[in-house]
Amino acid sequence: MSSEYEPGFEDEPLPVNLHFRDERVLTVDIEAVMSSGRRMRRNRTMLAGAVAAAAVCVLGASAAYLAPTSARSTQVVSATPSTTASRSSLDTLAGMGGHVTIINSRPSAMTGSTLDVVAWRAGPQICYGTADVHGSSVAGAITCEDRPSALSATVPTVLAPALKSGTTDDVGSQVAIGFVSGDVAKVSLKVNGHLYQATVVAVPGSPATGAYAVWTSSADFVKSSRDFTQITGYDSRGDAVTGAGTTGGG
Amino acid sequence: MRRARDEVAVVEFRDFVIGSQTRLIKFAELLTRDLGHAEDLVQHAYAKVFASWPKLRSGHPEAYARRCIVNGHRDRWRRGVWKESPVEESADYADRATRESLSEENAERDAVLRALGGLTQRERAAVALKYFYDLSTEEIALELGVAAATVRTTVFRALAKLREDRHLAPEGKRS
Repeated sequence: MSSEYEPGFEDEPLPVNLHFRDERVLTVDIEAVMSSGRRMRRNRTMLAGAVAAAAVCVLGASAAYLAPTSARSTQVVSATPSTTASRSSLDTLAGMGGHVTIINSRPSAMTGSTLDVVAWRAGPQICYGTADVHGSSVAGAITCEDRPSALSATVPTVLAPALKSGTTDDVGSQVAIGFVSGDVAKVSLKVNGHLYQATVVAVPGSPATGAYAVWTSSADFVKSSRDFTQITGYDSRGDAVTGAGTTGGG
Repeated sequence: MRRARDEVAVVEFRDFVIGSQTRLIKFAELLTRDLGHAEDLVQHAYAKVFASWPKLRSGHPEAYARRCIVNGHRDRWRRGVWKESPVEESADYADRATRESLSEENAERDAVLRALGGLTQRERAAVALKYFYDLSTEEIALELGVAAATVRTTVFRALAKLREDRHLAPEGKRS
């Protein structure tokens, strides 16, 4: 047998007759065919539905994983949800896509608008301060410093606050901004026998880290963080979980 | 509305099956050399066609069915559902030849199927598509999922094998 391909061979007749005479009645069971076909179609539809559902689940899980970490850290530190600024000026300031958390706000006597206490994570640093997020410019005092190692603790930890002056209706008042880690949902601080309470807000980009802020009254004459005589952290159930912290934070 | 459309589709599909079943079963028999397997393959191919009938009805459902048959046969062959290899003479058909009192028609069919037994399954598919369905080389290439040159070589080798088949000497001039 020659295995060399020879052009033109296709014109030659086949040595066998494939159209042989055949008197057989060759039929298929059409009802069985259609029943089987319907089952195939149903299975295919179910499979497509299952695949679509799985895809939705995967997308949902991916979206949850890739979502701003504020959502995740909210659960970890039991912090309450906060508004997130999306102004491009603050985004630029944060350098991390606009995940700046507003811890709380006060009316500003100077501008007539609102003065916001903000915080965010910027690489190895943690930034905080006051800014007019919704105003025409991000006027305010922002401080960035190395993230305190105490914030890596998994046990509930409250760091003493740093002070920032904020020009509010209460001229001379100070805002105290502090950080927590672990399951701390609320912080109370005492100054001159006056008790302040603050709700913890998750810090974007910094898992298990939260921030709190209190606006002290000008009548308390707070000058430094050492003026706070008692700092207590409470978990989401309201139980005191950590005592006075004196480290870092400002 | 939908029910009426489904009924129309069923009628169309029945017409298609009635018009093509003999051809497809013979084609599958040439491929498998076994009527039972051929009928199974065709039944399965028709079920697949019916499952996709809304899409296929305006196209070439028989071509789709042929592809299902060829693929189904290849898959069964790969899975080793039935083992076969090119042999000098099919034992099955040789036995049947002794067992049955063959009519001329049966003898002719058996001779063809015995001759095809000397071919590989791809050669059988290419030969059947070319000489039973009169498809062009390009069409065969499309259905088998190979290059046109591969089809030409495959058919050429199959023809060479068939010409050398000693059992075909009397029938050789018949095509």
